[in-house]
Amino acid sequence: MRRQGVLGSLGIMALAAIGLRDAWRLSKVLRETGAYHSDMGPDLYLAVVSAALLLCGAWHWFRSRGERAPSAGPEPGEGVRQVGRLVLLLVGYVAAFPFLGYLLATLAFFPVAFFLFGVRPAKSLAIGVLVAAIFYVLFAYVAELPLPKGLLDFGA
Amino acid sequence: MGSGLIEGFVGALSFTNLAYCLLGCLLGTVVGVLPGLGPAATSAILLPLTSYMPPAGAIIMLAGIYYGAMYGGSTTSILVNVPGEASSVPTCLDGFQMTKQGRAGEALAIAAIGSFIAGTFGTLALSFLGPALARIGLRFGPPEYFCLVVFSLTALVSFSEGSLVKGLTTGIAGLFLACIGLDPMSGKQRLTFGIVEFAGGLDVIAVLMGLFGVAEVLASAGEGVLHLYKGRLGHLLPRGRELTRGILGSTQGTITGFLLGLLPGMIPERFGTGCIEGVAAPEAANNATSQAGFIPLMSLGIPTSPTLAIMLAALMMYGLQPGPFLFIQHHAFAWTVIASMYIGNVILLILNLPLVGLWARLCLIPYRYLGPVILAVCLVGAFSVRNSLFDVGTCTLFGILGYAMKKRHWPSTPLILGVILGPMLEQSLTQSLELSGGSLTILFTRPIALTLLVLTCVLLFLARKVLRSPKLAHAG
Repeated sequence: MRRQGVLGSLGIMALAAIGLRDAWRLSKVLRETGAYHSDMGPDLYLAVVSAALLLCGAWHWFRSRGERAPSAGPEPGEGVRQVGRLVLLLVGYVAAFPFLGYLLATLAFFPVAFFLFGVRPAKSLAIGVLVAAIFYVLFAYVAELPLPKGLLDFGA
Repeated sequence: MGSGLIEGFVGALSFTNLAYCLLGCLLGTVVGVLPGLGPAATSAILLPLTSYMPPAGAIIMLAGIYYGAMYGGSTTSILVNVPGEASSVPTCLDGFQMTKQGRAGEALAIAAIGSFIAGTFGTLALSFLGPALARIGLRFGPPEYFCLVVFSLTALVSFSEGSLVKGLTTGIAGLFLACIGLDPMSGKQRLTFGIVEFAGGLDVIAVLMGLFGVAEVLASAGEGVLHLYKGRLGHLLPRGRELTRGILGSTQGTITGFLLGLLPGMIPERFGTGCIEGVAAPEAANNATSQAGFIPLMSLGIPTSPTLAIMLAALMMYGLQPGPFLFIQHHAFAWTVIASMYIGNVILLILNLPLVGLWARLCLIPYRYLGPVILAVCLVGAFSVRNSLFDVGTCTLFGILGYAMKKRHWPSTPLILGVILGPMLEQSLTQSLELSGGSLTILFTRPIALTLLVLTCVLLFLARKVLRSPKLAHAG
């Protein structure tokens, strides 16, 4: 808990630091180019928001440090592992779009996703392929939505 | 108001708009019944698809999903003791007790009747107060808008789950993320780091899909299948004193929910024992709160919940700027949407009384079949807005972030509203400072702006001292 809290607050402070740095860069650019600069220009606004974020991050860091660390590190539960597997699948699915295109990537995604959600393997494959095909027809031909096209893509 | 409402009914009763209203109410009831799929997630998922619909039809449908979910949320609370929506948690206490006493039919009926009373009252209030507030809004200049946005963000932070500072942090993080892209005033790039895709800023829909769609599925993954109550439902309609008490409870809940959007008016000594008011009041309060949210949205352009934020995004997608001018420039549109809400409440009453058994069985659909489908729809939805794989990545990233936030009890609503309201906040602040020659005193010298700032301070005080008191937190 404590470690997660400290990491979270450090993440917030890192984000704020990036904002402050960009505000400083923008301020320099605006001064050099003599561009529009009101009293609350885009640089100052970003600096104020980033500073507020930095303060919030510091507050959380301070609070997290005060939290008692658990005596023994708990093993991540099955629920967390399940989410981890789903996140990996999602990232893989999104990464496959530019190469496989929507149809092929989705044909691979659904059976694995159903399996990960607890459907039996053979049923996952059958339902997965069916749902992928229905999705493709619905999106590409009925709703006429633009779908990601990959190097191996074909169809709509 | 009268002629506008009549004109609205003419528009809302057209075949197309009636169909969209019915579809929205149906979808809303379904998502209200299904735990783990809320109105915000559904609206976010459907938003890209609505770009092919006429504006009035799309907003009528999205509104139907919103208030329909409030009706549907009570069904699982009463029959399964699992709230379909977070707002239906109080209904579980007395609703499930009534079910165990063989009075499920009465509980379901009074929930629908209470929702109808509150929904209709809320729509009536919108019809009267919406245009009136819009007229006041016409007097708003940049300083007033700046203070209004500050007030709205503060209100959201105050009422959101978790600590006040957590809400404040996510709200500010939302404002920070809204800075990504081209600055509207100077045209300079901010936080883009030379990445072309960042120049257009983060797509609000992709962020919404991630935070409310993908995150919801990740959080629900691994949850077991619910078991529906298989006993008898009892009488469908409460009778005599029960009906009177139910209606009185609904009225109490309507007023409380409308004014505060908070806790229902319970009778402490009978709390949790299966009293009919314990079902009527929270359900009425939920519906009154949801309907009341349309008033600031339509008349001032300020969303008060994630679903209303999605509706704001939808309106903007159609080039309709919600706010005082909506009732003037898009008079027919505004009144058609309002009139559709009266019709939607009648549709929902009809849907929820005789078809309650059907809705109850919906919650038996195992999540293992729904989860993958929702994930895939979210990603396609995120892609379809700008045909951008970058947005798909954004959606995934915010899904993971949203899940982590849920696990750590960080509210995501202030984050999304920060992203949506950020540009308005910056623009109104910049314009205010230009008007005053760089002095912030302009915010304190104009009566409406000053009132809003005082209200913000009062709200912060109340949030710290009253709303988050241990006693109230325990009651909630």
